[in-house]
Amino acid sequence: MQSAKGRIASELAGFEIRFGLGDIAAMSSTLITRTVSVRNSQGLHARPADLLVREASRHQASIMLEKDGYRVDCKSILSLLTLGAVCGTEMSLTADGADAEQAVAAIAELFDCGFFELEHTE
Amino acid sequence: MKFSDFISEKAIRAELTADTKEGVIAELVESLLQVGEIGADEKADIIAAIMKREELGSTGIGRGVAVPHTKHGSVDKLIGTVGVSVDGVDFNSLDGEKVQLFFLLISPPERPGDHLRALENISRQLRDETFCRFLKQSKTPDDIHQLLEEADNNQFAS
Repeated sequence: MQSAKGRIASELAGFEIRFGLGDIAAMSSTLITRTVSVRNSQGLHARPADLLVREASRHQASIMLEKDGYRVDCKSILSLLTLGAVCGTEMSLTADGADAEQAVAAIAELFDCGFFELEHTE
Repeated sequence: MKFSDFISEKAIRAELTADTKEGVIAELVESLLQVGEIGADEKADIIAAIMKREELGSTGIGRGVAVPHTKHGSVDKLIGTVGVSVDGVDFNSLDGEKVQLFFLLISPPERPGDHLRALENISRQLRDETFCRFLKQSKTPDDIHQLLEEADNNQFAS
């Protein structure tokens, strides 16, 4: 006769086999928010927007940037450009999904390094 | 910032003839030269600068639109023009599609805000599918100009 612990263990094992570990991770989805600011003098123009889209698109999570209550999809370059975010603009970065943490870290880093434009003026 | 603030009405081009990236850029810069927005001696330099910027990353932002641009010391305020290519031009766009709608911008070096506001306006208006489609279907510079005016009057995306 199986112990309760053994029974639960094999039920869990069956559960994992049926759904796959990846799906279990996805079920416990995370929502991460961070404040980011535009540090480069040129602001969030086409080139930084391109960098953001490329990075955001590498993650499963849904990633949004919010400025003064106006939210845009970080995976859409056209949407990012509508922000018109000049140097000094502070925004709220939110990622929702299994890889939300990595997504926020990667995108925040792009903001922090001024989209690689900090050391030189174009 | 409205289109009328930076788009040179007389420089608008419907039915662009060039079929290469550099060709289109040259055609649009030439149109700005013809209306006196830039000097003849600056033309080659401006084209080169715009091409150099393209090397950093295509300004073909997808959905058949490109925003080739550069800063240039010879202009004291943001100037721009619009061009439509019926067949579309390979612009190495982010989505791999040809570009039919071009917004070319030349801005003074010390005023990044103007350039950004222009990009903001262009992108906001282009989020409206109708505006985008009508522009691409425009046959004359007047058609294009009228659409830009309507956009400025908030008849498309808000």
